[in-house]
Amino acid sequence: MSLRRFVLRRALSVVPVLFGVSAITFGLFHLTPGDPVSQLVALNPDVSAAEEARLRERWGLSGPVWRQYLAWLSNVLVGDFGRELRTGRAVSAIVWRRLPETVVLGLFGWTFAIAIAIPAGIYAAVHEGRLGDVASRVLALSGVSVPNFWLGLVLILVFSLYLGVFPVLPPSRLPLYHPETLRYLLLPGVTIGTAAAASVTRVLRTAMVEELNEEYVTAARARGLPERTVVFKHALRNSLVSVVTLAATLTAGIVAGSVVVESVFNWPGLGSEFVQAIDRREVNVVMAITLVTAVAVVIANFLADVLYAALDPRIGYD
Amino acid sequence: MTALLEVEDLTVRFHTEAGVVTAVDGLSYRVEAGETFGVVGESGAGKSVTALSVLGLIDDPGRIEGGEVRFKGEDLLSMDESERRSVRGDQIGLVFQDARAALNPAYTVGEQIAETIEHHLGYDPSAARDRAIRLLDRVGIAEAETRYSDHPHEFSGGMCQRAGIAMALSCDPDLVVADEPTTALDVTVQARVLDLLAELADEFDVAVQLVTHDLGVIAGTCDRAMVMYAGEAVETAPTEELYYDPKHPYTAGLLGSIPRLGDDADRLSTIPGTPPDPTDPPPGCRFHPRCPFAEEACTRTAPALVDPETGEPATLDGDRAAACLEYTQGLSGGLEYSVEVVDETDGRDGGGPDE
Amino acid sequence: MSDPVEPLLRVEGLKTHYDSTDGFLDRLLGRSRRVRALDGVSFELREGETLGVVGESGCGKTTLARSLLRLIEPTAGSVYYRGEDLTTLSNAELRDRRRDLQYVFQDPLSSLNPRLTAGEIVGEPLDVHGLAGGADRAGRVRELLETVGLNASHAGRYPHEFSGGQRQRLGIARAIAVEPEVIVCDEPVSALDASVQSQVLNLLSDLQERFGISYVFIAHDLRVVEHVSDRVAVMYLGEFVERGPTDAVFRPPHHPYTEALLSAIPEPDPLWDGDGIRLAGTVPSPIDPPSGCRFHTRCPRLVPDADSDLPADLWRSVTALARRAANADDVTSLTATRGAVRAHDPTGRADDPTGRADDPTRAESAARPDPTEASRETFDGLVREEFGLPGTLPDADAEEVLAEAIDALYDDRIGAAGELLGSAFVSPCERHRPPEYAVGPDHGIACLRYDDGFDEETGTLEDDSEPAGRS
Repeated sequence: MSLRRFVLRRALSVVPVLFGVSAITFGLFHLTPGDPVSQLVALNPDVSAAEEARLRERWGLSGPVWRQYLAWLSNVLVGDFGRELRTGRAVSAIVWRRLPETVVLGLFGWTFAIAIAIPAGIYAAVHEGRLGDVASRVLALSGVSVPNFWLGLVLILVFSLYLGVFPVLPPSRLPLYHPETLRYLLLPGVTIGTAAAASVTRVLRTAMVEELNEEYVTAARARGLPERTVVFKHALRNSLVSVVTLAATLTAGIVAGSVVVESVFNWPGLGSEFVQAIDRREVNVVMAITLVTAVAVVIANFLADVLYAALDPRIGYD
Repeated sequence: MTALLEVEDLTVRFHTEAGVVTAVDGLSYRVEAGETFGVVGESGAGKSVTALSVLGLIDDPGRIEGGEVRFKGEDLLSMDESERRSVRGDQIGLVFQDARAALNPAYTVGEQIAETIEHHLGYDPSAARDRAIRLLDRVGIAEAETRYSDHPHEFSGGMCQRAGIAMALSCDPDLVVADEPTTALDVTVQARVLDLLAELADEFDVAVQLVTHDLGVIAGTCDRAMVMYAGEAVETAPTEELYYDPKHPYTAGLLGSIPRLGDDADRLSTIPGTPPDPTDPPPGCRFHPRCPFAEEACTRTAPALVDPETGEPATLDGDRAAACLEYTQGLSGGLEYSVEVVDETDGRDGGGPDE
Repeated sequence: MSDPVEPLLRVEGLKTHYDSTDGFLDRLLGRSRRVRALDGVSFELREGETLGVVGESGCGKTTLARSLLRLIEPTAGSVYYRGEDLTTLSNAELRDRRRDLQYVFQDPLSSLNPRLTAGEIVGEPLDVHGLAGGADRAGRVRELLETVGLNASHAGRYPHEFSGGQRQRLGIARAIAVEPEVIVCDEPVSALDASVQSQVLNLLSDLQERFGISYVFIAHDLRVVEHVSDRVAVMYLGEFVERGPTDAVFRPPHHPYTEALLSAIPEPDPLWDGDGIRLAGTVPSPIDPPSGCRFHTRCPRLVPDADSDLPADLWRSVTALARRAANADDVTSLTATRGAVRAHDPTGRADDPTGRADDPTRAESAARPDPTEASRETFDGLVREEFGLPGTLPDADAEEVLAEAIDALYDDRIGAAGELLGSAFVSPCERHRPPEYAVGPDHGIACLRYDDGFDEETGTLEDDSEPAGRS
C-alpha cells in the first residue's frame, strides 16, 4: 500500500476515535455532581432560583446531557470550542497559550528519556548478565516503579530546597524559548521522562539481547565486520522496532503524566490548566484539552506506524 | 608442507545449567588448499560447533578450551580479535544453513554483500556495489542489478542461499566453511546449489569445508570426508574409500540406514538406540551402546584414532583413520559388515519419451 | 482406474483455497487474492496399503494432508471414507470418525503438549473416545508405549525429556491408541537424523503389518517415499501430475517433473553420476498459477510449437527469454551482466601485486559494455549470450521475430518485446491443460507428451490445436 493511502486511511480512522473520546469524557464529566452555576450559587446565597436557571440557560448547561453534547459538538464541528464560562475567554486562546508549554515539557521529557535509555539499553544488552547489565536493570525497574509525583517532590526537596541548584517556581515571566528556561525545565522534564527512560531501557535491552542472538549477527561477525558495526548498524536498527512500538504508548503516558507533574511543579501547561478546569467545572476547557490530548496520542501512534514500516521492510503500510 | 587449514586437538565445551557439554573433544583434521572436505554426522555430533570454532565464533556459554586452528600455518585461536576479524570474511567465508536468517532483514541483500567488500577490500561504495552485482549474477541470481536492492524476505530460500554463497566468496577467500548449506532447501534446489558450490570452488580455487548430515551430499561433492560421532572423529578417508570400504561400524551403519532408490528390501537396516546424552557420554568407545560389534573391552577403553592398516596413531597428513579397537587390539568377533553396491543403472536410466 | 471394491478412502476433486486478502478494506473493495493451495486432487487409498505423496515445498502436500481430515476445511470436493463423505459430516460425527482417521505431525515437539506426560498424551485419546478406563487404561498405555519401542517405565516423563526420534514414536503411539484404519503422516521423519529416521520408518511398516493400518505418507524426500509406498502421487502446484504404483512411476520415471525430482536426489555413492536434470527457478505462486500445464514454466521437456523448425533446446531458450522479458523491469537484467567475478578477475586480488585492488576504474575497463549505452550490435550479442542463443537462429521466421524483439528491447520497450515473443513462441503445454493419460494399469500421467497426438520423432504435438487424448 502506498504511503498516501496509508495516511488517508489513518486520518479517516481518527474521526471515530475523537468522537468516542469526546462523548465518553462529556458523559463522565456530567456524572460528577456540580457545575459552575452551583459553585457560584454556593458563594452567593442571594441568587434567586430564576436567575440561576437563566444563567444555566445562557451557559448552555440546561437540558439533558445528550442535547448539551450535541450543542457542543455542532459548535466544535465549525471550529468553535466555546468560552470559559466564568471569564468569557475563548477556550482556543487558552489552549494555544498553554499548549507550547506542555509540548516543550513533553519533548524535553522524551529527549531525556531517549538520551538515557538508548545508551543504557545497548550497554546492558552487550554486557548481558554482567554487573553493568544487572545495575541498569535494577535502576530501570526502580524507574518504572516510582510514581512521578513522588519523584517530583523528592527532586524539588533535594535540588531546590537542600542544594538550591534549581529554582522551585516556574518561569512565569521568562519567555519559553529563553535559554534560562532550561534551568526551570530540568526538574519537571526529568520527572516526566524517568518512567519512559526506564521502560525504553528495559524494552531495548530485551530486544537487543534477542537480536544479538540472531543468526545474522553471527553472520555479520563471520564476515569480519567490526563489533561496532555489528552492534550499531545491524542489531540496534532491528531492536528499535520494539522501541518504536512502545514509544506510542509512552507518549500517552507522558501526556497523562503532565497533568500530575505540571501540578507538582506549577508548570503553566495544559496539564495544570486541566486540573484547574476540572476543579472549576469548566466543561468547554476540559473538553478542548481532552481533544488535544487524544489527537496527540493518535499522532504518536501514527508516527510509530510510519517509523515501524520504515525500520522493517517486511512490514507494509497496512 | 602444511595444509591450508590444520585443526589440532580442538576441544570446545559449553558450560550449561544442565552440566558441562563437551561438544568437540580433541578433534584434529586438515583441509588442503582447493579441496572439498566433508564433515558428516548426526545432530549433536559437533559438526556445526567445529565449523564456528574455525572462525573463532563460539559464544557464551561455549568456550574453546584447547587445541590449535592453524590457517596458512598461523594459529587463529592465539590471534587477538582484530587480527582474527581481518581473516574472517576476507580469507575464510562462512555459508549458513538458514541463509535467510543469516541475512539482516532490515538491509537489502546487495548492501550486505557490498558492506563486506567495502570493509575488507577497501572499495568505494559504487565499486563495491558493482562487484556485488557481478557476484549475484555469477551465483545465478537473474536480474542481479534489480535484485541487488531486494530485501531478504523478497528472495526465495534457494536465492537466499545463492546470495549467502556470493557473500562468502565476495572477498575471494581461500577457504569457505559451509554449514549444512542445503539442508533447508528442496531437493531440486539443493541439487542446483550443490552444483553451484562445486563449480565456484573450482573457479575461485577455494577450499571448502562442507558440513552436512547427508551422506548423499558428501558423496557427490567431497574429495575427503570425516565422520563425527558425539564430538569426536570416528573415521577420516578419501570419499570413495569411505563409501566402498568404511572402516568404522558407525560409518557402515549410517550408510546402511539411508533408504536407496531401487532397493526392494522391506526393512531398512538401522543403528539401534539414539545418540548419547552430551552431558554424560558413555565410557570407553562412545558408540559402543549402539554398536552391533561391541565387546566388553569397548565399554572400558576409548579407542584412539589410528591408521586402520597399521594401527599406528593417525597423523594430520594421513589419509585414512578410524577409531575402533579392532585396529589396535582387535575385537574377538571382528567387524562383520560388507558394502553392496546396488546396480545403479536400475531405476535411474531412461526417462519419458525423448526427442 | 476401476476397482470393484470400495476403497478405504476415496478422494474426488478435493480443493482447498485460502484467502490472502490484506485487510478489511481490500475485502470491501473485492480485491481478494485466492491462494489455490490444493486444486482438484483425486485418489484412492486401499486397505493396508501406503500411498506416498511427494513434491517440493509449496506444492500443497500439507494442505492436502490436513484437508483430508478436515483439519482445514476443503473448499470443494469429497473425501469418502468407506463410502461416507466426510466433507458433509457434522462436527460431532466427524469427531467420532476421527477415531478411524489419525494424523502424525512433522514436528513431534510442537504437536505434543509439553505439560502432559507421555502416559497422559497416549492415554488422552483413550479417554476422549471412551476406549479404556481404570486399570485397563494404565495397561493399555504401557502396551502402546512398548508397541512403538518406548520404555513403558518412561510414561511419567515429559516430551522434552525424550529425543527427537522418541518423540515421534510418542506421536505415533498417540495415533494408534484408538486403533485407526488410516493414518495420515505429514513429513513424519524429515526432522529426524538418518539413523533414527530409518528406525521410525521400520516402526511404521511393522505397525502396518501388525494392525493392517493404511497410510497416506506425505514427504519431500523421494528416497523415503519410494521405500515406504505401494503407490505414489507426485504433486505440483496443488495438483497431481502423476500417480501410480511406485515402481511404475519411478522405474523409469515418466513425467518430466518426476524425472527431475529423481535426478536431484544426492545418491550416497561417490561414483554415481546423475542425469543432471536441473529445474530452473522455484515453484510459481499458487495465487496465479501458470496456464495450461502448470509445470510448463520450468519444464526441461517443454513441447515446442509444431510449426517451428527450431531445434527443441533453442526453442526453449527463446521461450525463456520471452518469460523473463514479460517480468523484467529493465533491459540490463536481460543481458549478460558486465564482467565476471573470478579468481583472476582484475578486481580480485589474485593478480594484484599490492594485494588490494583499490582502483575500481580497472574493474570498469575490463568489464563488458554497459547494455544501456552499447551499440545495437553489441546489445544483440549481450542478450543472446545471456540466453545461450546463436548469432542467427536456424529458422528464418523465428530469427525475424527474435531480431524484432531485440530491437524492441534496445528501444527499452520491454513489454512489447515480451508480447512479441510470447505470442510467436507458444508451447502447446502453455495452451492446453493436460488431462490425466492412463499409461498403464493404475498409472496416470498429466503430460501432453503422453497424448496420442504426440510425435516422438519430432518431439511435437501433431495437431497443435487440440490434444488428441488417449485411446
